[in-house]
Formats: sequence, C-alpha cells, structure tokens
Amino acid sequence: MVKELEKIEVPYVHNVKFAILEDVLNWARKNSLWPATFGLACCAIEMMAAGASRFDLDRFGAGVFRPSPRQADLMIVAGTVTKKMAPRVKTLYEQMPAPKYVLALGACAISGGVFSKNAYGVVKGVDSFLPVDVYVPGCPPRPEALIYGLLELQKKIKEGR
Amino acid sequence: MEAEKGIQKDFYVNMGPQHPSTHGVLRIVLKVEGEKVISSETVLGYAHRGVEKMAESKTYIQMMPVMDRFDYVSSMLFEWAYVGCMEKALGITPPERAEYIRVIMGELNRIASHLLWAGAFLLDLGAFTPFLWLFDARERIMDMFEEVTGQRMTNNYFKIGGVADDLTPEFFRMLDDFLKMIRQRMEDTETLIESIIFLERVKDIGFITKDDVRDYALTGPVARGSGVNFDLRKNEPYSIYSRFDFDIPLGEKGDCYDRYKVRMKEVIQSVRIIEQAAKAIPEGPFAEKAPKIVKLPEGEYYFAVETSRGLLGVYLVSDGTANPYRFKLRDPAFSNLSILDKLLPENKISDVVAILGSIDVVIPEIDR
Amino acid sequence: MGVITLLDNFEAEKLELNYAKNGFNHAYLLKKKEDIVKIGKSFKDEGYFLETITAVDKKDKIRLIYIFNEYSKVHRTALYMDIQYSESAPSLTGVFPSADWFESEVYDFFGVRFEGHPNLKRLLTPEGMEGYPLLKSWGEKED
Repeated sequence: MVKELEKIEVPYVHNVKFAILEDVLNWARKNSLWPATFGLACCAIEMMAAGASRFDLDRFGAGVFRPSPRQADLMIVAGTVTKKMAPRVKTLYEQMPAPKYVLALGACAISGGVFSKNAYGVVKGVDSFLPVDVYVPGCPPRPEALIYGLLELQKKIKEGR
Repeated sequence: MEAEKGIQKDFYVNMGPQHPSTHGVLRIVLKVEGEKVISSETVLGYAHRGVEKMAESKTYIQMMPVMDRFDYVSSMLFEWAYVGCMEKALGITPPERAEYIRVIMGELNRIASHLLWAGAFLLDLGAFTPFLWLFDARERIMDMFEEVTGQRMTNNYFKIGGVADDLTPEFFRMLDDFLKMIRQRMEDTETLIESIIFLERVKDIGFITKDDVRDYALTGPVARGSGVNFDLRKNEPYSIYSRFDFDIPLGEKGDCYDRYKVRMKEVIQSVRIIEQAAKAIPEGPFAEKAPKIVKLPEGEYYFAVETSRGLLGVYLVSDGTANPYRFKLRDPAFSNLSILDKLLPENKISDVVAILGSIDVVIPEIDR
Repeated sequence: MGVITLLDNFEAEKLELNYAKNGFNHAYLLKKKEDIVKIGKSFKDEGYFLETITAVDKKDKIRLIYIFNEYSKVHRTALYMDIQYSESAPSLTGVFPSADWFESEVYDFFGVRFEGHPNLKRLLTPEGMEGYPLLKSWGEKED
C-alpha cells in the first residue's frame, strides 16, 4: 500500500513550500492589519490623512478602517486619553478579538504631551492601562511617521513577538 | 395589555463615545421608537483635558502652542484669537505685512477646515470619492503650511506683534497652483455629489429657524445657513478684513443642505480674499518687537474672531503676573452643539448622522 | 441703545471698560442678582443673544460674567454680578435656552448653583470628580 503511494507523481512539487504554521499565520496577520476607526483628538486627523489619497495606507494592507472594535485587530490610540474616556478605551480594547495590537500615536497617547502637567483631566500615557506595541512620537506625528510605525509593527508581528 | 407585559417599551440607543461619525468622542443617548428618535441627550466631557485650569499655571507664551490643540483643523484661527487678545492688552499693532500674512494663512486654514468637514460629512453619508478629492486639495494647503511654519497642523505660527516667519517665494508659487485648482475641485465635487441620493438625505431635515439661532447663540455657518447674516469679518472687522471684497453666503431654509451649501460657498469666498491679499501684500517687516516675558497689565480682555465654526472669544483676566489669572474660551462649537437635542426628535436614526455632521463639531474644542 | 438706557432703571454700576482695550462696548456691575432675569428678557426683546456666561474666582467671592451681543452689529455688553461662594444665582434658561450649557459649565467649574435650572449637571469634568477645579482653592492631588 505504501509502495503504491510513492508511485503517484506530484506535478508541481517544486512549488510547495513547507513552513511552521505560526510563521504563516504571522505573515498573514502582518499584511492584513485592520485598524479600528478610533480618533480622540488632533492625531486622528493625521490618521485620516494617512488613509486618504496621498499617503494611502492601503498599500501596506492596513487601510481597512473598521468602525467596530469587534472587527479590528489594531487599535491606533490617536490623541489625548482623558480620565472620562480611559475606561471606555479599555472596554474597546477588551472587545477586540485576539491577537490584537496597540499603537500609541502622538505625544498625548504616549505621555500626556503638552497636557502632562497640571491638566487634571488627562491620563498621562495610555500604556498605564493598555499594552502598547509601538509608540509613534510627534504632536501630531506626520502620516509618514504613522506608516513607519505600522511597518515596525508588521516587523514585530512577523517575528512573532 | 397582558401580552405586552415584560416587553420593554422604551429603547435607548447609545451613540458614542466611540462612533465613526461623531467626529471624535461625543456621546448621544437616543431614545427611540422603532426608527424614530423620541428624545436625545448629548453627553460631553470625553475629551475634557482641563486646559482652563492648566492655563493658570502656565505663562502666556506657554499657552500659545496649546491653542493649536483645541481646534486642530483651524488652529491658526485659534492662535489669532489668543494673540489678538494679548495684543489688545499690550497695545501692540502688528505691521502691515504681518496682517496680510495672517489673513492669507487664516483663510487657508478656513478652507482646510471646510474641506476636511466636507470630506468627513460626505463620508458619513456614504460617499467616498469626495473624501479623497477634498483631502488631496487639503494636502496642498498642508504643504504650504509646512513650507512656511514647518508643521502641517499645529503650527504655532502667530506671535505677539506679528508672525514667526516670513512667507517664501516658494509659498507664493504653491499658493498660485492651489488657487488655480481649488475652484474647479469644488465645482467638480458639487457636481459629483448632488445627486438625488445625497439630496434626499440632507434636504428638509434638521431645520433651524432664525429664532433658534438667537435662542441657542449659534454662530458661524450654522447661523448663516438659517439666513442670519452674522460674520465677525464683516460685523466686527478685526485686523484688515474691511479692505477685502467678499460676500457672506447665506442659506434660506436652515436645513442640513443649506448649511452644507454655505460652507461650500465660503471656500470660494475665502479664495477671493486670498487672491486679493496675495496681490496687495506689501513689503516690510513681518513682526513687531514684542516683550520676551509677557505680562499683561492688570485687567480683563476679550477678543473674538470668526473661525470656521463661528464666533470664538478669548477672555483673559490678568493680575499683572506672568500667568493668566483666568483663561476662558467662548468656543463656537459648544453653543452650536447645544441645539442638537432640540433638532433630533422626530427624525430617523439615519438622519442623526446628517444633522450632527451638518453642525460641524470638533470635540476637544467643546470639551476643552 | 435702548437696553443701555434701560439699565438705568436697575441698580448697576458702570465699569470703566472700553471697547478698544477690553473688548466690551459696555460693562455694568449689577447690585441685585434677581435683576438678571428681567434684564435678560429685555435684552432678548431688543434682539440680543447671550454670547456666554462665565465666572472668575476673585478669592473672596465669585464674579459671574454675562456677555450679550447683537447679530446685526457687534455691540458687546458685559454684565457682572458678585456672589458669595455658597450662594446661588438665578437661572437664565427660561429666557435663553443657550444658558443651559453655559450655566452647567459654570456649576461644573465653580460650584455655583443656578435656581430654576431644569437640568443642572456636571457637564465636562470626569465622573467622580471632587471639588470644583477652577476655584483657586482647588488643588490637584499629584498622581
């Protein structure tokens, strides 16, 4: 029986590649990041600009902005996280299906930015309650910076970190 | 009646604070009956940073960059209000050239704001192409800002007694190119969008009467859409606006369509102002000498400008030290949004997006 | 100008503020806080709108500021009113619906209660906020 099988010819055998399943999944994940449409302040406008005609985020497979966190796997925290908003941001993060990634866009999301001192309503850094994968500094960061941040995130995902 | 027992009659739909068409973090609690909105409650504060308190521990100059971050789509107009208020207190008049630069940059900012609004508004209503077209035009304005100020959005360009840097020849070349294309772009967009599908969604909904305008202290395109001729550039001609020839577009009925149309026409009027200003701009210094450490004389000062959303007033109380004693913004979108709870009842849920969009809100400006 | 002569009927002190320097065409300090509703009504009849309501903590009292303006021609009139910290003020919501949010904001920041306000709530500050942030005595705990 075994000998029978060996006789079967596989015509395109040189086209078949073997890989670890995890690597294949990471490769697929990296090239189809779906960010949640989630704007908080100024940085959201640059995020929109990044998605619009000139910068065209679609080139990197990350342009499919999802209105619902349940369909998204990347949360771009674009703007000032306030104390009133922080619990909602957490809820939104928890609603996203795993594997999920967080990108902190702009100085406010990273540390509070210009509002890091004496502004009582601001959470000083989104990393105090969310695991952040990539930080993109700037106030606001240019769309190119966001694209660079996404590429870094893709690298991270590919390496399985 | 027995059969209905256990069935909840009141349904509430919670829109926001995370919703793609609330333009930020606004929350509206809608009480609905089927598709119809019975009543609504607007909940604010999801972008409340506490800037008015923060201002009391900052110096006047340190507050300058913060002005950009209230309304980031027309940031220079916000800078203008703050700088204008301080100039009034200090008795400084900027030189001629600086005034012209301010007008050119301010009007470009107004156009950028309206383009962004129109793109997002039409996107909310399901049209994707105008978003790409208008953002393309907006990117050209961003390029011009970058050329002169070094920043795309939060420019921090206005200074007490003038502006931070002079306009470059490259800027005027870019401006020329932009002015050549923008009229055609607006015309194309309007031709593209004004089909029956769009008109059905915006016409005859969200009526604001002239009495409503006064009751709710509405200003800007929202008031002008209802036919109230109120524009500070004409009514209280600050800076050098009295030298330019431009019209104030007015709506008739005060529905969402009129507000949309007013903004589209305002872009063209701003283009007219820029054309005149670019032709008449004199040579000379771009900034007056200003004190390094700003201390306003004791007293209180109020200065208002017309931003792309309406009347923005900056109210400063000084006790003679280097920090403001009280810093208050009278921001246009705060008042404009307050009419929302009156407009929404009796409309369909899908119209909520159109009505909210037609008011044009920027949340950090409202929540401060 | 009708309103300005009307203000003579009320106990009000004219303040030395001018348009060129301070941005107000007229400014008056009201002596009786009850008058504000009546004055508001006559302002409305004259075609004014309520530009904003705000307050300043003067360290021994709170000063409320009502700014009225006209749509036809800019004619900004500021009315001032001094109240004690625990005192309430009459609400203008019956006259100008726009006062709803303005007064809620003042309550939120300064703790001034407005009598007759239908829906006085903390408008902007986060849930569970203690105290009124724009009072000078308010200090944030460092976190």
